[in-house]
Amino acid sequence: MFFKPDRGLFPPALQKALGILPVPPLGFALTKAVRRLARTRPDLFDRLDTYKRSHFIIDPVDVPHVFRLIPNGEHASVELFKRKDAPEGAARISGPLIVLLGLVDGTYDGDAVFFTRDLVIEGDTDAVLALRNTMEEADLSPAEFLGFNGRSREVVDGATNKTLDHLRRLLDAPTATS
Amino acid sequence: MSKIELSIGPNFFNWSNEKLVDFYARIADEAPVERVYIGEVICGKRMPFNDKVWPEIYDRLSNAGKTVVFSTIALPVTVRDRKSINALSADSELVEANDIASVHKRSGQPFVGGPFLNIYNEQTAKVLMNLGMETFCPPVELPLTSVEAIAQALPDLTIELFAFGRLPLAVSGRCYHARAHKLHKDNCQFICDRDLDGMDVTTLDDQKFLSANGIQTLSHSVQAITLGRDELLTKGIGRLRLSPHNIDMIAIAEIYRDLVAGNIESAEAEARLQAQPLPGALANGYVTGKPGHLWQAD
Amino acid sequence: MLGQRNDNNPSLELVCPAGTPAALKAAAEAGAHSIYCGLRNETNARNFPGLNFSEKELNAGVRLAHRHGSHVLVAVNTFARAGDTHIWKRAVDAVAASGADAIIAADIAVLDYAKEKHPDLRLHLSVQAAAATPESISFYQDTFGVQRVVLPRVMSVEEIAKLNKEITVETEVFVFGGLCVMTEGRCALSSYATGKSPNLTGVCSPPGDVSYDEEGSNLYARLGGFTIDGFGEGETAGYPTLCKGRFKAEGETSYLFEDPVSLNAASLLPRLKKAGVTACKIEGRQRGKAYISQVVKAFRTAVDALDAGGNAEEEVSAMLSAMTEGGRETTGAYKKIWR
Repeated sequence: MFFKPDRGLFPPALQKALGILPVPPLGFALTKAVRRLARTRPDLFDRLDTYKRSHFIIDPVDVPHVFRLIPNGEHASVELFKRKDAPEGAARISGPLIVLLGLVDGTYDGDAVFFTRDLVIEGDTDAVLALRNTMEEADLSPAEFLGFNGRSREVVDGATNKTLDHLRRLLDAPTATS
Repeated sequence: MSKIELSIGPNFFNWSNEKLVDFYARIADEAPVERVYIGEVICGKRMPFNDKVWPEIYDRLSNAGKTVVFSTIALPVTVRDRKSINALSADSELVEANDIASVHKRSGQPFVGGPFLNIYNEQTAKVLMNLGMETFCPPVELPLTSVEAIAQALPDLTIELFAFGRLPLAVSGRCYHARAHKLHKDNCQFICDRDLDGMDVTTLDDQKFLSANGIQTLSHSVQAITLGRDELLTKGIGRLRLSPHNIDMIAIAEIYRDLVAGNIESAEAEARLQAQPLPGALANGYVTGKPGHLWQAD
Repeated sequence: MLGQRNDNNPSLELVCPAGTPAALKAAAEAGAHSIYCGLRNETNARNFPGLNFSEKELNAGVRLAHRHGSHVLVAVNTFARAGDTHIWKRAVDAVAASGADAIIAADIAVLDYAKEKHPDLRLHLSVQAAAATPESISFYQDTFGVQRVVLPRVMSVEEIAKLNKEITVETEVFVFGGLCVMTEGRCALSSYATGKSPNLTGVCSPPGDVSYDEEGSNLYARLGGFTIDGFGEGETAGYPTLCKGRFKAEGETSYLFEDPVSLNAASLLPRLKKAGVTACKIEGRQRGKAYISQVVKAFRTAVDALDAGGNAEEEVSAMLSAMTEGGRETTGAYKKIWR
């Protein structure tokens, strides 16, 4: 092993390398994905209620960028900012990328990683709770979120899960809670 | 009603029989209040002791012209607790129901709905009025807007506000005095008799927070509703309840008497209360639906 | 029919929580006999952001549960706000229209309305009503026709057995999850610190009033500005539920009211059954579907083993230990030593 893994954090060299990746295309793709979800699962955005207009700053501490999510249904947006340019939001959710991804696909229980301090929440806790409970109801697989259907969804999900599982072990991330 | 009455609420603490007899003798002779609530409402284990003095206290107060009301226990558990509720409730004297069991046993005779009953709206109050409720002392956390809505819907119901004293916040199956002294509840040695106003509970950074009294948890702060006479009348309040503490309750009653008679304004009542050796800081946050520990004047 | 499990079949009914349609599905698939949930507003005592059911989701949830042979019990168990009782009445109407099997209520206003407008709707008395004696239970039975009472978590097994001999309604008891130390429905600690409480707004120690403050190497968990607990470096933090905090009294610092433990009465199921209990309830409408699924499976295994005259205690405790993640557990007031 060429680096000492630390609770899921990407090694510094990789963190640096990620910094030179182009930013807009990823934000654009994610925005499209959230808006697509607003059409197929409007119930999820009803569940968010007034919090769908909240600005969530999602901060994967081991990559050079932060995300700003405004999950406002068909007007939703996901934007990427360099950490030094990051705007203020109603709430900020920070943790290693692998942990944040694990929250989306249900690998980690939000409470558990919060109490072990692998996840840090700042700002409007009610907004974060609304987001978390909505994700729980959404039960999204990575491929479903990205709009894959049928056979391709299974393939993508299978590959993603395998990769993430491998990464978690490689990075010595917290143990999965489910 | 154009006059606002005063009452002395039931004593929550484990006072000795001598202290109880002396306390109520002074109330009978000197306190300018119309009504006095007596009886053990917190712990059934204290009953075999203080049961002996209630008849004498009842007579003393009654002879002094006070309306005397027996308060029933808030959290009946044992057969003894239940028997005491049944016996008091079957009696023709006025009782205060602090558990729904008492309402049931009242079978239509008049009763006071105590602050331990969950009466949060006009519909619940109406059902209980049909079963005999003549006075309603709202749960302490109920904001005045709700109290006012109930008063408006039910003009024949006397509303009695918990106006002075540490707030009764919770009851439990567990005894915190026993737990703090590493004793078991069944062998508690009646250790709660050491704290005549409750045992201080402070936070890790020494902020005064709560007060424990056997199975009961009270606020550390002292509730003080000091609305002026006219405001109380507009909101449909008929009586203010003063909860007993180990201080000069006659002086407290006199302050409130002046307030409800319209002799003094809120500010003067507050100043005079502050001058008393109270067990905690003044609070009235619940009145406006805010955290109960807050003092709006802050 | 609900409750008939006990007449024809002495099996314990397993009552499981669902905070979302996804959790309801998970509970039904994991073998819950009954599932309880609430509408997404202040009419239920788990009124957290993003949780609970719209009327449409409730209707679909009832259909899904019934397909799995599970019953649905809907909690309308807060106390209606004066002047706004129409919100609670509307909730009762929605429950009746959904085809749910029972409504769980605590407020006399809600019980009264349900009895008048929907006499065929089965009524369960919520734990928030804190009815623990034959007299108080009879009041709700005689006045509103309540058919089941959820008992406060302050009673011992012996007391429950004695109570069941004196009453004719069914009893339901909590066996797993969060533990109230104070008598439910009789606690204003949360509103004293934050202005919000179970009875007033359907929440206790609400997350919006919580702050975690780092001071030196310590982390302090505060509620409404009051320090509820503190954690040293590397120590796992906890949620500042008011009654499970560390306080000072008589010169000593301790978890005065209750240690930060959760209830696990799995080992007491045989005794609870013998005490005449009809149903066992799992707390946790705020928990995720993965948690629900595993806890329900474990308790279903335990109940089925009990029916078969056996005992799956070791297997069940292994299934549940993963869920508490080494967190501490208690059998609570069911054993008298707790007091």
